[in-house]
Amino acid sequence: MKIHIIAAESGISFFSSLLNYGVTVKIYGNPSVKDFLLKDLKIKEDYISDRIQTLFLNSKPIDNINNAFLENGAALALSAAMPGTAGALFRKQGRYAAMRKQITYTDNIDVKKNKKGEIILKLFNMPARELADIIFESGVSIEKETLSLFLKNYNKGLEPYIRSIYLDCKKKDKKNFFNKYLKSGFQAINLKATFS
Amino acid sequence: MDKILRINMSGEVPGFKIEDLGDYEGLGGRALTSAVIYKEVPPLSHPLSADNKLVIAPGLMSGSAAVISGRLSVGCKSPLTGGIKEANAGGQPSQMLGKLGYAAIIIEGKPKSNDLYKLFINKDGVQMTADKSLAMLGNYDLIDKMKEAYGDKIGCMSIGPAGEMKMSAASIACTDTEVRPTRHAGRGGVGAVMGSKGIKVIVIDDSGTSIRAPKDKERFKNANKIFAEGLKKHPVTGEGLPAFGTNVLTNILNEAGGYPTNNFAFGQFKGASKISGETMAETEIARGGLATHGCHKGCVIKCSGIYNDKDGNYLTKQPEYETVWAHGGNCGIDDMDVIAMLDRIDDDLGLDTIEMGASIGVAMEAGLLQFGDANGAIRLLKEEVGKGTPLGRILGNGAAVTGKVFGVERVPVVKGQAMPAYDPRAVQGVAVTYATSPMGADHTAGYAVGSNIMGVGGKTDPLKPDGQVELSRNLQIATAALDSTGLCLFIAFAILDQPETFNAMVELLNGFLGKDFTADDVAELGKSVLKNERDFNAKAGFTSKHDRLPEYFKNEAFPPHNVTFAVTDEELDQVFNW
Ligand code: SF4
Repeated sequence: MKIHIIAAESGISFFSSLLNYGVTVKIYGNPSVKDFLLKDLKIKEDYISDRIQTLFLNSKPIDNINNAFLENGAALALSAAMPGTAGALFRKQGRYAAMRKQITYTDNIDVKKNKKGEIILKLFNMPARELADIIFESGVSIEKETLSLFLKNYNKGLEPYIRSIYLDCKKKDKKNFFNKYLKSGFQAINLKATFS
Repeated sequence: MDKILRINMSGEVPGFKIEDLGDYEGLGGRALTSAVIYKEVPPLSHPLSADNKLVIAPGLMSGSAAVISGRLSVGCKSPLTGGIKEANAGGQPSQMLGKLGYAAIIIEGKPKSNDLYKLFINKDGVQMTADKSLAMLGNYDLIDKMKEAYGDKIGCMSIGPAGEMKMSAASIACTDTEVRPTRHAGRGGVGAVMGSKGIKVIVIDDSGTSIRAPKDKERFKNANKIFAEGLKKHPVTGEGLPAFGTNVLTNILNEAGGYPTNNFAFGQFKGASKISGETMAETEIARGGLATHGCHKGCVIKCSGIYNDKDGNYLTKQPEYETVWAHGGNCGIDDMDVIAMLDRIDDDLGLDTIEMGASIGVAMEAGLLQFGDANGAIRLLKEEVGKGTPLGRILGNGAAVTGKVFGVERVPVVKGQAMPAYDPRAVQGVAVTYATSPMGADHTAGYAVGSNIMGVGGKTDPLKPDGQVELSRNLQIATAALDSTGLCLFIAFAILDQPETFNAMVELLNGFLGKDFTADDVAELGKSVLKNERDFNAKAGFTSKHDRLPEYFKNEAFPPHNVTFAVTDEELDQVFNW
């Protein structure tokens, strides 16, 4: 089942919070993190180099995005530069990277080869707000548990920003749509959102 | 700031005198508090005795037009660690004391009676009044009473019931721009020392004073402009911190597997998204609070906020990352409203949020209540600690005491002080600072304040594997220097990344003081502060054995990375070899 939401642009920050919880996206082959961001997600190169300063692959901070490769089931998280000593030391190739060397991602091209697969993508803080439109417009899949957790926190905030909702191309009543939908038997939904 | 207010609480009636700076000329903030403690407090004295002193020192530029320069240092021999302490706070008092010309207030001696005093300081002098009606008031009621008496243009430093009960986790509250007691000199039990001196509140009124003039107006003005612009244009100080506050780190530490959960048992918390900075900012805005707010006038970063309850009424200021962690993930609690309530109670009772979260976490580990028991945590804080029951007094004396009383091995403290929100096994460089800082476990003791451009320790290869000891050393030196200026540590990223902003900061200091300090001088200042602190601790009985993490961090692998703390004792002993 596919859900398509047409939402007001002013609601992007509410939708972006969903990206904090993690959404599922497809990968083809074993792209490097750089290629995935640039070619699959279509994020601009200077945004990747300047704005995305903190990245984790399977919870390991990455210093070199050209030499970190995705495989089916991986979890990738993106953040801007963060405050504090912790922020400084998690930053890619930061001056204080040695302070977290025990958990740093070590270049590993020996990933499990796959032709296609899925990864969990999480976006935090500024990248979540700034990239929400392109990520949702290209479509993501969301686990039922994630959606239900998110709606528990945001349901009231979300509805006013939704202009219309389509379920498998059929227009639906937006009132309490998600709550009703959560009661059905699905495990994950495919969600696409367009902001205007 | 050319005078010291020295208050002696001994004798039949407490008295005070106003002195010149003498040997302390040119010092401010932490450099001044640590110099006074080193020189004047017998290292073996009891922290709650007449021999200990409480030193309150605005940063060097506090009270001037320098942006974000209103941080205050509070020093003493700590009842929590038994060593030297500097606790740093925001709020209005630093700027006000600076404008009144006080480089420090030194409170010494001990009253003979059980009287509780209030101090009123304004341009005309100092009044000390015994006032029993203030006894056991929470900070919020106390400040309301002070506003009734002195108007709402005041700034206050006060203790709550925890300070009066001389609990080792007691803080000193500093009022914010709305005259609320929300900014705390939190760590090390400084509130207990104020309580032992019989002082409940210091009321400051700077009416009729002007801002402190720089020695070189043009140099200062230009530097201030470039410095402020640098802070505003940097993504961390100009966007991330104002939008989300320090709690933006919850998602990051959790993702990194370095978020100590359920009393440091594992590194990821399922409920992290519910209590993250992103969620908190959305909640604050939706409830008519504020996600961007400065703790004192002149702050251009504004990392704080106003947290309203579900009905839109003020509950507390935006809790910081360490508070959200301590009362949240560390205790398995994922309800933002409960965490905000615990923050409010801490502020009202006058308690360090990190220490109290750690104490409750240890109590949970001991089986007093379950991890995740939000109502139980509120009850412990309000009904036990707040009322000073025997159990409350155990908890209010910190995680180490709580662990000892209840026979818990996993007690996350160094030198008796609870660790903040970064697990030592996942971020081992921070753990080097936890272990070796003269303050006890303290995340702000080795802040990433751009030691490289300060010239401390030369250039370190960021990816060199063995740099943790060297980096910790450099950061501790740079932080000690910055803590002396009155500037907030959160300027760190802007001065780390933007050489012109770092240069503007040095110029700002030089323009203000009429000096020509170089980066080397700043590093020397940092070293001298640390030397005083280390020497004091050595004379108080501290040895290299105290510069260690609890053993279990070396033995218990920490999920999800399953790592143990691997920095050797020999390496730790090299931190202060400069
Ligand atoms: S950045 Fe935050 S902590 Fe620092 S002075 Fe401003 S409001 Fe206070």
